[in-house]
Amino acid sequence: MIQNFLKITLRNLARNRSYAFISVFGLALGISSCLLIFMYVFDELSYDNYHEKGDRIYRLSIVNNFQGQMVTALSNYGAGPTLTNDYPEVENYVRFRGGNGEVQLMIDDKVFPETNIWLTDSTVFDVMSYNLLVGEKRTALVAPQTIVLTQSLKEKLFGSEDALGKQVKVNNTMATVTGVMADLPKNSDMPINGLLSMTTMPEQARATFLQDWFRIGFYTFILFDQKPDVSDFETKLKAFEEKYVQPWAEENQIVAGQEYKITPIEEVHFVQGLDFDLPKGNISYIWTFSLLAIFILIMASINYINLSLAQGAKRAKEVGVRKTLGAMKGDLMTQFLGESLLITVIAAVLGLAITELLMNTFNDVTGKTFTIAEVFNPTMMFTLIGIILLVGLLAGSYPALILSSFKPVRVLKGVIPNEGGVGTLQKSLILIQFVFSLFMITGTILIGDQMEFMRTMNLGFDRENVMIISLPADTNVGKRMPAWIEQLENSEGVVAVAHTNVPTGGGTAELMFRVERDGVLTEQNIKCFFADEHFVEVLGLDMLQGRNFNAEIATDETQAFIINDYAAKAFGWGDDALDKRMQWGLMANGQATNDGKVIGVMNNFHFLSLHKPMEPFVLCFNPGGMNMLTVRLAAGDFTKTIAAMEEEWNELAPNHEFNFNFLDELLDQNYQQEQSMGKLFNYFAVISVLIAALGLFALLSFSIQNRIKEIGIRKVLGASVANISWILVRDFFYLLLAAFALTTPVCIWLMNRWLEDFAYDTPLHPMSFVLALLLAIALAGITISYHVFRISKSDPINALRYE
Amino acid sequence: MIKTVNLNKVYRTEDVETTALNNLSMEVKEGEFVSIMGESGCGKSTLLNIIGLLDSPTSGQLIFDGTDVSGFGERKRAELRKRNIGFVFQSFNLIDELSVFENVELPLVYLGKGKSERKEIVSAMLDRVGIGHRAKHFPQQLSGGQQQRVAIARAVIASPKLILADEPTGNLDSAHGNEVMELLTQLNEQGTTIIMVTHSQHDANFSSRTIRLLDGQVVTETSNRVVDAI
Repeated sequence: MIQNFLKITLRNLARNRSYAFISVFGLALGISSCLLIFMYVFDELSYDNYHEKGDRIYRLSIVNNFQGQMVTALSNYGAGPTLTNDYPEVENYVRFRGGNGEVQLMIDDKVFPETNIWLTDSTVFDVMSYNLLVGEKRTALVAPQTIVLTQSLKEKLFGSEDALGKQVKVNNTMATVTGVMADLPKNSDMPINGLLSMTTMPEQARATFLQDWFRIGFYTFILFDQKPDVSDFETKLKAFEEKYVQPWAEENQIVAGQEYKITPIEEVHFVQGLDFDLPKGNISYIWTFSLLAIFILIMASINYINLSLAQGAKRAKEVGVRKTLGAMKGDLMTQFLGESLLITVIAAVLGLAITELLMNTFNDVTGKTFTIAEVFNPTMMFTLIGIILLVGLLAGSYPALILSSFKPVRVLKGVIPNEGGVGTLQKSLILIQFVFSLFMITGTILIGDQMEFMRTMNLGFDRENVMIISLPADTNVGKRMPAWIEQLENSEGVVAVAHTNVPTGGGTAELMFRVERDGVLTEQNIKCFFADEHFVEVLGLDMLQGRNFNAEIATDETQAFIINDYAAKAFGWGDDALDKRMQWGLMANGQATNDGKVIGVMNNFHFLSLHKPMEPFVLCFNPGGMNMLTVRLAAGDFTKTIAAMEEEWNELAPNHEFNFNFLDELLDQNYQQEQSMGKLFNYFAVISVLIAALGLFALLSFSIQNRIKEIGIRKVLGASVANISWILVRDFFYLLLAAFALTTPVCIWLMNRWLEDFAYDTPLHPMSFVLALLLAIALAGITISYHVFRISKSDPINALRYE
Repeated sequence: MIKTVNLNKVYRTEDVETTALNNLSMEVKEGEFVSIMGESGCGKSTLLNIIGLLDSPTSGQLIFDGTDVSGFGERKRAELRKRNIGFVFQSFNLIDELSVFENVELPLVYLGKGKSERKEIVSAMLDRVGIGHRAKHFPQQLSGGQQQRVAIARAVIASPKLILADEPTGNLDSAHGNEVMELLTQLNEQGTTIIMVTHSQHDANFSSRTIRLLDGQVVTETSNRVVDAI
């Protein structure tokens, strides 16, 4: 019996090749999209799920309350050990520092620029399930100047040699390799290439960190003895703050407080809105894309349902014959369901091939490194089987129900239910496809609008033609750099060069200042930047009041501050900001290392991504000893200038790579998540439009086949091609308009919610919606044009003779 | 074998009520070959469909082998049909996607017969209707007469007690038509009861008795053998 069904199914597919192609290809695209999206979703949801003690590991974060609030993923140096000491339920802790900046590793004279080298505690291997391949877990990171490398970094530095006991220079510190650990799984929120012992940090620095509760710079993870009650423990942390932080603040005359929070390690990947956090996943994108996957699958299933129903007329005779020969309704249901399962399986196989084809593009867009092999892991296979069963049974059940209930007496007489037009159900299904396609098109356009808005918005400085160069951290080489910089300043293609402490465009530090308010100095955390006197010129900023830094005025280095206009207003100084007192490098008793006055007010510029609103900003003067250059190049072709720079660099620092970025590219990285989401949205929009177009194409050709006599008669009676085409497509056109009416409010609502993520956004243009509709009409038009062409070429008598 | 008692069939649409069968009573004995004739719309095919359990009467009784089957549900009707009745249609109604062999095999599949047994029975049957050499062909590759022979082979493959034929020669030229009628006659001679709807007096002459219908009622019943004798 099954063999008989199989034969019929395959022969039917072979006979109706074009419809079979549309059904199978559409389903394959849908299945492939689903596989890719679910791979992404499962991967995102699996972050840090591999720690054996994962259910007991929590990350500490702090809400710092001064003048305003700062919520940070980083915590202070003291919290981890103090909590472990005071609370019996806290079993252990581990802290990480650094990591995000570039570190230069040196073996003999060879330099390897690396990222993700962290300072950490020796407890790291007790808390985290990092797999130490060589070395002793408990002791590897106890001694100062010891380092554990990941397997791949070890291979990069030492090849296949044994690395244990070997020396590596890390920036200016020599370290001994005391262990090699397996590379971290890809789904680790905190990427690691190497771990330096925390004790490598100079003792004095550690002491400074330890005594200052507001000096935050460490990711701290707490290991509990059993899964804690989060709110219960956070209440205890209030007492902790009162016991340690408050007395210290009072002693140092600081009006400030802290709230401590804990987050389970497996949820850390999705925590949003914390300052100084590592790049994060976005749970709302996970939901969005999961929904997209399901919708695309529904679209493909709709094609299958519609085409099965449209082919019902052809299958009716078979149903009639089988029933007269004794087939029960159940037999036929089984047959048709089996058929749809078989087709789904074929589509799944094709879908796997499509997945392989799309994999590289998908990886490029999402920044993942999936391979087709990962589709065959148990979770994904289970998902695939689930998809096949769901689609096969859901998409198959309605046609199966309809086809199997045909009455043999009627169908054998040639009376086919629903012959001729496209039924209400089919229209409703097409409406769903139109709604979704329009939604995707509109979404793509609106996301594009916002991206374009951010790309072209006036940021308050000139972002073009600015180069950021990082100087070698190695002090020996560093000594040779001033000569190079001098050459650079005098070079023809260079307009100006500024020294800074961190790369411009790569974020800012936030430090505690004291500012004069109503004659009293009050503590306030302010975003700040350290630079020399050229910074204002290099970025093309305007001084609204006062003057720029001046290297010839000796007091500028410790007694001068430049603020932005926003700060002047926020601190209540308005147009009278000059000479207001500020302090930085705060000490007890109102003392500070830098105690001086506002010497200038510059225009507001967006030093943060446009996700964040404008904030007060302070520029501090630090003319020497900084490791970043911000260079304004003369407009035009600067490839020669850069080539010359590199040549000179290579002469001076042959072992150090000439590393540079362009400011506009760095700024674009702020929107990477949105850009990849936008691109992904784009791709899936194309896929869903393609599926809908295929379905429309096939259904229309059925509709024409069924109405061929009507078309013939109309032609004989003098109808033009346009008349006939309109009769055939008007239903679809009205459906498209209905879809537009349904989609627009949903799009407006969803886009407004998405735009809430940005402090600066473009309003939704009505023209974007109209454009989406026109695009959809154009796409439908292209789909339909083939049929119109065929009708216009056909001879009316053929149509009549056909009957 | 078949007996109808006051059989009525009324088709209702929104505005019109059409009586297809009107208190029709008749009987067909086991081993008979009966033709049903009459003008278009007189209820011939409706009667055949009701006898074949493809349609149910509005009222009245249908007795099949002594059992009143008019109240049977779909499941029982399908069961009765596949064990006892074979159908031959004017338009053959072969499944285009299945080969000759597979078409003929189908009733045995639904009866749950094993593969080797099916193969044996089908091959023998195809030889008997003279189409064994075309077993692997598909219906469209055959002439009309050949297709109807396949359809008859399919109708009798499960050795039904009763064959219902609805204008079996309607789509055939006279030579092929005669072949089909001779085949039916042979089957009847081997003991199969046949009820045939036809427009053709020529075909009716192959049967032993003719029932004429008019407006859903039996108007005459004539024995063709008697006609021959006269």
